[in-house]
Amino acid sequence: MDPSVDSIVMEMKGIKGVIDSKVICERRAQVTVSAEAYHSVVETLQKKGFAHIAAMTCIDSGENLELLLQIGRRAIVTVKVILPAQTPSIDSVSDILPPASFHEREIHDLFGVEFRNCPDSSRLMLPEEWPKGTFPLRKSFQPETPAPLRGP
Amino acid sequence: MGVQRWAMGRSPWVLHFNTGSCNGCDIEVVATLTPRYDIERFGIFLKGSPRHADVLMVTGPITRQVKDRLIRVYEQMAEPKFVVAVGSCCISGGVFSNCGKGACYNVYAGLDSLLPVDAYVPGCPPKPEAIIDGITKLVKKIKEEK
Amino acid sequence: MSSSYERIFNLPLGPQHPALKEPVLLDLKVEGEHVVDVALDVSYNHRGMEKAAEYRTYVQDLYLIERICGICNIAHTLSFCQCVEGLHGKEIPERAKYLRVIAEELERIQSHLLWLGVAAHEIGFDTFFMYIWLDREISLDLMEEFAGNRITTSYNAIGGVKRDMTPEVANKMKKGMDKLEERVKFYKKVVLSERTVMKRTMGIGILRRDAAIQLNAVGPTLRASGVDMDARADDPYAAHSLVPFKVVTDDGCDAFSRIIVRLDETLESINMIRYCIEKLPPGPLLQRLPRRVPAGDFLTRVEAPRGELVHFLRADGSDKPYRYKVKTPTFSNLAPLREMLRSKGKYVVNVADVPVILASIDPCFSCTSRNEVVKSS
Repeated sequence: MDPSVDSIVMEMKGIKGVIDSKVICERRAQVTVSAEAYHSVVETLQKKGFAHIAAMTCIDSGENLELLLQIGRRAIVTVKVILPAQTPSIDSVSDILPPASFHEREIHDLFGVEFRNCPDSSRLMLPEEWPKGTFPLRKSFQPETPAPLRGP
Repeated sequence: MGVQRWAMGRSPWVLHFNTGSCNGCDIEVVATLTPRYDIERFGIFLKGSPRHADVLMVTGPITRQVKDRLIRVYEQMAEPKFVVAVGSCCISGGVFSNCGKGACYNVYAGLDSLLPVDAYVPGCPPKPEAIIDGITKLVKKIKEEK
Repeated sequence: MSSSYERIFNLPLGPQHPALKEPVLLDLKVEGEHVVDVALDVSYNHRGMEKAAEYRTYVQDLYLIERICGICNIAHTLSFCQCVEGLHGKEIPERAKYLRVIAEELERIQSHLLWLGVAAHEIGFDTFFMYIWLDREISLDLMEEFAGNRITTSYNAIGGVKRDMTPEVANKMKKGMDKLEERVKFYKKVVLSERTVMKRTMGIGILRRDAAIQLNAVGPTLRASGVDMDARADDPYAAHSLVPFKVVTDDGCDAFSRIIVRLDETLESINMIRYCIEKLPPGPLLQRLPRRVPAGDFLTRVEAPRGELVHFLRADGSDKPYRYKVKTPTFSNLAPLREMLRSKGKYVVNVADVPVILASIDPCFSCTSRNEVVKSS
């Protein structure tokens, strides 16, 4: 059984590197942390029983990229980190939560976030012919239908 | 060619290739095999190898990654060969096509931008009856062509 | 692993392969007959849907999201609608909640029977496959009567559901459930007594309880390792907090337990549908909601037939999503799948068992590579 979100939010408030910690609604909480503290905060949460990755989401909000790690079984805590869009890089959490490596590879493909110490950063989602350095889910990318090989 | 075509009209063997489909069409293609629909009563047989197949049945929108494999599978098939596009996505890209709303960057605009297509089975997903109808119409076309 | 073979070969399986209905590449590293490692390539289904969703309005997205996966389309549209309704902060009518549960459980029955047939095909028991798919047509006919289409139903709408359940359909549904229950019980008897099934699935694809938790397995794959995690119970949505059901688990940890778990779940679903038809409250079907969605984040979880499905929506106040993210059950099950396919100590994986193990997680790669690329499954 996961601990309740209220107690976890209160506990998180005291930790170094935690910028904000709040309950969003029933069974959902959000903890905003600095990039340096991300790894240790995830480790603290994992020890408290938040070991199931529900999802890992990246959002392009213009100048920054937001990385959201959503963990928990019954209650879900979102760990939010803000990264600069130009050189996004952060510590991998796959040493604490092994399946994170798949989620990190996906985000590496689609947003170009560099995960330090990720055991495998090969392509997972994009085709092998896809140009390097083009990240389709960034807002600056304009999707286009590939050119046909033959006429109708 | 004449004897080949005559033989083809009796019992075409079909190779099913999923090019990135949502599985809706795939399960309907598999459903045509099962007792309610039983496509084998027309002599149509689903095969696993491109070298044994006469008809390539493609389901799903064609993604960039699968494009080269699709063309390779098509080239491995022996002549004469025919292609059936099953489902809206395969015919035109379906919901994944542009329509002025921003395209899916990874999806081609339909199978006939890559391969010559002989029959189209529309629907999302088409019913098993429609798939059987599509193939039997193709067989009829093969028989009638001199 | 000690072996007389010295060389390790790469054995690619897919993307076009008789045993796989979906394009996926399993790059197996084999030492003789034993699989020692596997690399998965799921990029063949990547269509770029998460990007495309940002360019369409919410109503248009409903139809796009539905096509992430043809088999679990109701679970996907349900998640999407819940995200939008959640940001509006509106409750949907009680009757719609019950109808959503009926649709969802009917889809689960259909999907589990489909899977059982495919699993029977993979173990080389084609007679069983044909029998199951014949009975699966009962559930598809009911789906057509109830929701309007066999597979892709467009049943859920933002704010409720689209079609009502008439008394005639309810009667047919009850009769169909009786028939299905009888057949599923028969299949369970067959599975428990048929040597062909047991020989090919017992002790195959082992995933221990601690490994399943550590690797974040979800759905029947996790429950067959003895963990009672189910989003319907942990994080109730629609009418699930009102409809009683049992979370089915099994301690076998192998492919055989996964069959048993799915069969028992099918029986649970049949009972849930009966309960919902009995208790279906009167009232409207649809709560109309504005086209523009208030800004905010919303995360929702739904128990799809294959496991926990997570949808995340960020809205910016316009009529189009700012970011839409889908995490599908098969994506979570990739790490456990890799674990199952690795020989370790006494546990050996033969090449011949690979399709059975792959089938045992009920993969849906169209879901997984949605993007994205489900099944998704």
